Amino acid sequence: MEIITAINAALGLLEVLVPQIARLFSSGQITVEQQQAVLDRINALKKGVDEGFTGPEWEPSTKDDE
Amino acid sequence: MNKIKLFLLPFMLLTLVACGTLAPGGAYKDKVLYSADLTIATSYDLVHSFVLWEYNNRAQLKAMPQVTAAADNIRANARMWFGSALAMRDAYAANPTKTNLDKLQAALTLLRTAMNEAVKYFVPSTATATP
Repeated sequence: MEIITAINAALGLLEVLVPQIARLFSSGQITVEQQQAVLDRINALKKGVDEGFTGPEWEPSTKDDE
Repeated sequence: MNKIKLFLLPFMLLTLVACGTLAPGGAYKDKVLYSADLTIATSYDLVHSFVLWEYNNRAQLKAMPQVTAAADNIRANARMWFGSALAMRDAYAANPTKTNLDKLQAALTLLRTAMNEAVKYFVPSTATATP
């Protein structure tokens, strides 16, 4: 039952991510706006490359046992 | 949810290259650079979602220790993988030579592998609980 809860949560996340990934494979022209959105995303990642990996979700699970 | 799409997802990610052509006047002149940036951004979103999901559901996932192990492997290496990919991306953008392209592709391969590892456990049919 607990596993099912976790899997449902994963499916919820995938439902958000799959369309995002599927868009990568759609043919046609990549608009100026889409290009800018990707560049903005990369610049934000570069700016926050350290902050992007902070937070409890980035701590190793073994830390819980200490 | 489209199960076929889910099943294909790991294979799609292995060959993640943006389709389509760049509209003129945009931020990119080089399709390779656009694809690289898209891969880096999508990889980050996916692996972050995965480690967050594992963290939020750790108690429920106790019967599947391989999920936590996979998340821990990503946690241990993600900063280095992304730092390297971003550095190689900048090197290629500044000087788009074959050598820099090869280095960028190698860095992106690591990210694709991490994405596949994450997706493997997001797709329930490929993850099996230990008794």
